Amino acid sequence: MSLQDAITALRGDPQLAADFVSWRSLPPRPAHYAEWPDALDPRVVEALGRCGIERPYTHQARAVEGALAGRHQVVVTPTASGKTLCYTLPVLEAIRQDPAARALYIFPTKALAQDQLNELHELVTEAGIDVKTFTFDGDTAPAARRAVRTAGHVVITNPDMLHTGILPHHTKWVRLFENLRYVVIDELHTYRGVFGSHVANVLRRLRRICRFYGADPVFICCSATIANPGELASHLTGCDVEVVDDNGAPSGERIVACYNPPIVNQELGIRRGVVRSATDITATLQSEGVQSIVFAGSRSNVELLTQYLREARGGRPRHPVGEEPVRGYRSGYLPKERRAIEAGLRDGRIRTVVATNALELGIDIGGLDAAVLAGYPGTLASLRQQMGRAGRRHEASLAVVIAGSSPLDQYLTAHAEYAFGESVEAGLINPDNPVIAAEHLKCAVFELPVDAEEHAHLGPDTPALLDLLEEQGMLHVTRTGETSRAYWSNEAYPAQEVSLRNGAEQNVVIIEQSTPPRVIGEVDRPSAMTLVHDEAIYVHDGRQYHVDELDWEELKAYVRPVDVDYYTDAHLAVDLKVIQEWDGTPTPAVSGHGEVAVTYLATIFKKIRLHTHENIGWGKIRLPQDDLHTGAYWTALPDDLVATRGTSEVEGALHGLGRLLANVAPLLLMCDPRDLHLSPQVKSPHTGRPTVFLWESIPGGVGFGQHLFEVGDTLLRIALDLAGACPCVDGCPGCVGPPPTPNLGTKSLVLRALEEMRASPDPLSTSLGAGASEALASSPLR
Amino acid sequence: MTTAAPPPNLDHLRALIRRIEARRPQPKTLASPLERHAAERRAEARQRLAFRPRETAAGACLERIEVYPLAYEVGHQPLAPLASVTGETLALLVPGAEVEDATAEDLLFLDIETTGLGGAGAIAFLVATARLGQRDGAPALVLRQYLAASPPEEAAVVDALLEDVALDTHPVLATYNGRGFDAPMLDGRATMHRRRAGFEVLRQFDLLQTARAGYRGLLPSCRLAEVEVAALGLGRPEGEVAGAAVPRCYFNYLRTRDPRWIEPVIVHNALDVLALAGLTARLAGIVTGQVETRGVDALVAGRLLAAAGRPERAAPCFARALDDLPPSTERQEAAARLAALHKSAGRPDLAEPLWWQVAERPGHGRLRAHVELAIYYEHHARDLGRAAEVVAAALDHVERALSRDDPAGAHRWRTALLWRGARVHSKLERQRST
Repeated sequence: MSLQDAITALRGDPQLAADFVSWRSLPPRPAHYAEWPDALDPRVVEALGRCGIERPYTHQARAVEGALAGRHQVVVTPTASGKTLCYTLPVLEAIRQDPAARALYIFPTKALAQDQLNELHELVTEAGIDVKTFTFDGDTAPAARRAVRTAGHVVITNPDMLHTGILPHHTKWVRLFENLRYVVIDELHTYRGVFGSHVANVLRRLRRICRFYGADPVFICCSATIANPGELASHLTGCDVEVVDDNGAPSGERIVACYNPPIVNQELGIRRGVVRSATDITATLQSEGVQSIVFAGSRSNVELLTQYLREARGGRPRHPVGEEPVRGYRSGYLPKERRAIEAGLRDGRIRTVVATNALELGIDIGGLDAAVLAGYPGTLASLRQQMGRAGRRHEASLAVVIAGSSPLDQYLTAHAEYAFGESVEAGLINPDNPVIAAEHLKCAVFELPVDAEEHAHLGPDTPALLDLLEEQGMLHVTRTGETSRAYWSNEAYPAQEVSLRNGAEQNVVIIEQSTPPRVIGEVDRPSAMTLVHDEAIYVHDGRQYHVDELDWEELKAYVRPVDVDYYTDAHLAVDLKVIQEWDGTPTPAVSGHGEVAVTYLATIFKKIRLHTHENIGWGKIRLPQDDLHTGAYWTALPDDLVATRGTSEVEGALHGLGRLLANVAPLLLMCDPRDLHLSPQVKSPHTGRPTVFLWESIPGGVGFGQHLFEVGDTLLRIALDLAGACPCVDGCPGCVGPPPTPNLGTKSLVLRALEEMRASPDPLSTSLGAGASEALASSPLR
Repeated sequence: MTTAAPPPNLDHLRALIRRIEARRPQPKTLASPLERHAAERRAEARQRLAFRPRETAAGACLERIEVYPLAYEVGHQPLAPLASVTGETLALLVPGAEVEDATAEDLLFLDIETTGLGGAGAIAFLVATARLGQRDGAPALVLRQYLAASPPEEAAVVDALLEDVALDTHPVLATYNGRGFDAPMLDGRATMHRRRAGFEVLRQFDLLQTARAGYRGLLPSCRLAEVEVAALGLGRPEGEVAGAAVPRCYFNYLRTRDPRWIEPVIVHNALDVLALAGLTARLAGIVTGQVETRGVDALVAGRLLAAAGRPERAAPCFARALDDLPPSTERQEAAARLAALHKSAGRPDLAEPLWWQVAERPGHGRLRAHVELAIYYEHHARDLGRAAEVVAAALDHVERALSRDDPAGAHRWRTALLWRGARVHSKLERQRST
């Protein structure tokens, strides 16, 4: 096989060649080596030599040296640049010096933890140091837990388990905490927004427990490229963290191609779908023997592409599952199946994998030859991560980005410098969000009585929050003079009541009705409405199943294998209603905040023929609607403007305003864009006007709606400033969004609206945090 | 770095948190159980429950000591036999506890009351211990209770307990589910107060294990409250508090300082350790045969002895249960267990009539009894005709069970029986042809 041959084939293909809008080449990078730090024991260095690692890359040497000297580190280098060594060596060295020493590894998901366990075992065996590593997560058998608690040198876990399983039971982990030398936090960039704010509070609690046991561990963090790794790491850990970003790992030449599917309907401007374009391009790569990963935006696209690519390989006769060279990979596959696919990719048996962003995180599948992105994944960081899946140390690799038909995709195709330039999103968190901090303060008191001297460590609102909790009878507080100590005095187990992640804990289990019945997968509750409703065709790893019954009470879907020439696509209607307005302002700038109910209702599904994608029938979905009650902020367009403009102009302005506010709000809230949703309503039943709603993803909300309302004027002023200063002509992803149709004048209309909505003409205040300003400056592309 | 948030004022937070809390069910307040007692009885109870301060290195807690002469009866069980319990007997009650060389004086009866089931935020606010000792020259059971009248005093409770118990003398920890709960909990509490305890590494004389071996299926559950009624005839006093209500009683006490909240908990805790001592005396009596056991007691004794690997002593107990009990599932069990003991003792002939007793009545062991009879006739009595009859009868029962939609393993039995039937018939054929 040859990648060059594949590229030649793509560029020469009469069906495809003309629609490749750009080809660019990023030159290969040579390796930069350094020497091992003197502090590393020679025997460890020898062991590394036996593993074939003669010298470290520059970033490895720096990180190891810094960590050994007791300085907190964050290592920011691309996938497959040897990050594992950066933290494993200090840990090995610590255990070599003192067999009682302990380390805690925190990975965002169980799958990643599993992966690390395998990698560590190899290194440990070679080094000949007795290091016992254990994972501790929801799957750890109760009988094994004691051994993990007492004997494990390295305990691998995730933030959720640390939060509910380890910290509240710290007295059972005395050995770990008394001897804790290193805390490793991998995939640091995933800890942002509300999730990151929660994790920062968990880490505050961790450091507190460490202090109780007299330990002061060094934090070693690893992150993919983000704008502010040092700041994020410092906020998360509460420590000063050194940034190591001088990547010394070599990489081969990277070729990046952008493909814009041809227009198939000139009048409506409809382009050929990404699925079919991705099929053609990947089929060419397949036939040249190029090992590829295809990122398909959704789970159903994963299955569709898997099916098409198998057919492209030579038709129907199916390989047994274990030998199939084309595999799907997404959430909902069982862990065992996923591990097998990862292994197949590493050893080359699997030639093509079609995945959702479930494979975006640092799961070790080795470097592949090519990555095909069927559509823009939504953030620059994801784009980089997905393209980075293709990449060899010494050989060339290819990334093909296929544009979808959305304005955002089209904008990026036209302005490639935006996507491939230096800028990238920042990771923002606010550990002091009062709602989040209050939840964790309860956990902290539960874990250890809180003394007055500790208040500073636990966030600025701690004294006020403690008063509140005492008022509610959750605490027993003793006071002598200036000092006070708060004791937990409630039956509740507070960690159980706080979920670090955004809801969706309930899963629907998918059961194949064979004898005996077999669980083939699972799907989260909201998605189940559209994926496994009655009569749906559910596709799992390219195999079709008919859903005979979805038992919504028991959360079980009963399926049987079928072989049909269509798939199903269901429509989910999302509606937003204001339940209660807590506060509001009158005209001219109607705005407010309160509790809203967001309802999801699956209504109908279509049957769509494979390949031709023609509609061949439909059916009704009979499921109750799902409700999310949460906080929201809303603001309406000024009446004057609405009165003087046409419907399409008003609609354009409403969407533009929404996009702009959605771009700015995360910076004010120090959250992740995904923590907020945007719903523009052309005539809102609540305000009676064209209104933009920004609502929180977290059930119940964490006060973002209220906060946006309180700083509403600042929000509007920053929005005005940002859009006014943006050099684009009529909208871009960084301001009011790319225009859906040109020459509508959306941007100037939004600017006018903002001028009118502003309550006072003060200049832009400087209340924006430093990190937010930087992030703002570096274009918060969403 | 500064965030753009205005400094949140207390009202703002209050509103936010109220909103969150409003979504969760609020705890119901509970009427104090002692309210129901007449005033004079309350006064008397208060008198009896008098605590005095106990000083320790970690400050003071409250302590009370009560001495029970061995003539004292827990329910209808006197404490006296406890004094002569041997290690060998203890080993019969809790097999695997390694208590063969222990003495009755080594037994440390213990029960704790906590504010939750686990985690560092649940405190052990009340601890009761009971141990054999001397009072005025006579042997007696000495009950001690340590109370933390507020959470900070828990440190002193731990210290006082560790001082009095002297873990380095290696007592045997006698509890009800203490292996799973009380011991690890106390060790955790000691860690919270920067002490090393080690209750978990003591020999665990956990009577829950005994109760499960002896009473499973005979009582609605193996909770101590059920077992003590059955074994000791002990009824709890009116107004005694249920285990699940204990944390709320304590929190109410903390808030109101009204002793009526905590008194029932103290009584409950004291009764629990006394029940443990009584139960040990009682069960020791029935497994050693010092107490004449009849009926269900004999079945319990048989079960315990069988579980302790003493079939020769279990068999007479089952025989006695068989004699005493009216037709019932308990009697069926006694017959089946006795038959199984005879069989493994090499006397299938003695087992046969017992298997018939089981086989002829509906109940759990019926199919198994049929199979045992078939084995007996096929291999020992060499009466293939009867073996075939028994198999046919058993299959009949299986079919009926299946038609009642009561599979409970019936499919498995049917397969085994069909297989056995086929073999017996082919043997019969061969016999006839020769």
